[in-house]
Amino acid sequence: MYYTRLCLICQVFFLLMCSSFVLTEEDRLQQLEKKLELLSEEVTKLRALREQDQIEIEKLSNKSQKFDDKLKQTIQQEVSEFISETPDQTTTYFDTSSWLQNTFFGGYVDLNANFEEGTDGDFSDIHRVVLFLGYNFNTWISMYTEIEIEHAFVSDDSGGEVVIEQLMVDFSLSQFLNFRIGRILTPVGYLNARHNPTTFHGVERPAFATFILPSTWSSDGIGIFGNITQSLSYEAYIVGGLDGSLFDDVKGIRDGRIKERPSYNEPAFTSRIQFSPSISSEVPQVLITGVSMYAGGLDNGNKGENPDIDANIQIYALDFLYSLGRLEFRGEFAYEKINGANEIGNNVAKEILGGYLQMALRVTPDALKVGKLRNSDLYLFTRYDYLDTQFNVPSGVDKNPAGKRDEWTFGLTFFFEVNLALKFDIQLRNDDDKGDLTTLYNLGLVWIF
Amino acid sequence: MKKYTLILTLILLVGCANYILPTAKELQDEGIVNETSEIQSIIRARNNLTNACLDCHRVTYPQELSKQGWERVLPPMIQKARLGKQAMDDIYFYIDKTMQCVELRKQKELEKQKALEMQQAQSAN
Repeated sequence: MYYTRLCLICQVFFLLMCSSFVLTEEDRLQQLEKKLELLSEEVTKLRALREQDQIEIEKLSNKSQKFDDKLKQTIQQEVSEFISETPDQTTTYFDTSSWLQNTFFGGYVDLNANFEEGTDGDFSDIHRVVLFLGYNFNTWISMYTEIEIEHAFVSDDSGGEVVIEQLMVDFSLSQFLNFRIGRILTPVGYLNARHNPTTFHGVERPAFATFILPSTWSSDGIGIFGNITQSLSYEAYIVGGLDGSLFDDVKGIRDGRIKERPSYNEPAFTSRIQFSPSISSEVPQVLITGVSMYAGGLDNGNKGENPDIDANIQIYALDFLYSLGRLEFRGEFAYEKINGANEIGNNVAKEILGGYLQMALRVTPDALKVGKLRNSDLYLFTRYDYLDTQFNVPSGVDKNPAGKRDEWTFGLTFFFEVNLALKFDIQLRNDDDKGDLTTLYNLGLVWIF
Repeated sequence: MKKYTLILTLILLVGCANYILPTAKELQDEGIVNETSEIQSIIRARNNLTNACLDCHRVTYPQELSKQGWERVLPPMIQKARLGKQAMDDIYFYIDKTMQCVELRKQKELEKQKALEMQQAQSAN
């Protein structure tokens, strides 16, 4: 009996021991699971931290790269400024290397062949050979000159001439205000100041630029120029005036330019404001518009001689250039008012009017711009000139009908390079005196270097 | 007559892959330039290319010459135009950014085409 009881007690004890052992295992498993969870949480947190650190490191390395670039740029700029300043301080004007570094040459050539309907008027013409020479005295004072030989040969009987068209010294003070002194290009209209043959279509300059705003029209004087904003610029000068006694009923003011020793007897004021906005669009657009004026007395002769003309002139001009992808439009218009035209005589009008409109189309497909012709371009153009140098004559003066004329020009310009072009055009002319005039055929080879 | 019209139309159409002359705003919108100094440089360069450079020749687009071509022709022209070193640096920078813009636009165009082709393939299936 005792033995049975003892067995029973042992069994109970054994069962109790087993059950306590099972509970302890579950607890441990639970604890382990908890620990695992905690560990995985820690790992996730660490990973997130590492990602954040990497982003920070990238940001810092970008910043340091930018800082390095800026530092390099600043150092390069300072070094180049130091180098460019050094010659001024350490060398003299007769130092050859410094002289060459600060001097520049260039020029342009206008080589024409003109053919007139019928048997007369066919000739070749080395129309213009122009040489530029410039020199930088230092970083803010520079000289620029343009010397022209016209028609290859100069004698008393020939139409040839050697002319200094530009000779000026610029004092560059700031973007807004700079000074210029010397022989300048009168800033009236677009073409006069931009008369290089690679800038315009047609073998000859437009008739407008011959009789209304004669180009090249230089004036001696002093003035200011600069940019008010990036797209708005100005220039204004006090210059020697025109000789009114040489004005004409057909050629207008053309012969009134004094090329030798212009007079300051009755000086003129001339200025131009140019607006060239930056236009955003898928097709590239360029727009340049200008408003210009000229006003002054006409009692001026060569070497300051006084032709005794009691008259004055006011000129107002508008011009534009608009390029839209392959299309290019250009126009200039001018109105001239001569007070005291009666005094001048020569049937000179009291009002002169003229203008031209031109449209050009770049027709070279980009696909053909390969090999030797990779920089070439072909333009087709047409231009209409209208001029009336007898627009309004003083009372008692008979109008010369030859003063009113128009001209159609059709042609092409083939650019081998941007600075070398072959030109061809046909000109259909008409005036109120003779009606249709003979047709002109012109061929030209022009370059700028 | 029809033949000539066709030839002329073809010439014009073939030539439609055109040059670009992006403004500072366009380059900014494309994400090619961001900093104020870069934008100022682009404005100055474009202004010179469409203004001072026209004193001597027609409008010339950055893509018309290779990088080496520009390096050959630009320095003497800068002198003749009486512009300075900064103007030259601006123009080089502008040319570089314009080329980037051309590449970027080409890539975008290709992506568009691919997407379109995929759409067409899906709709065919």
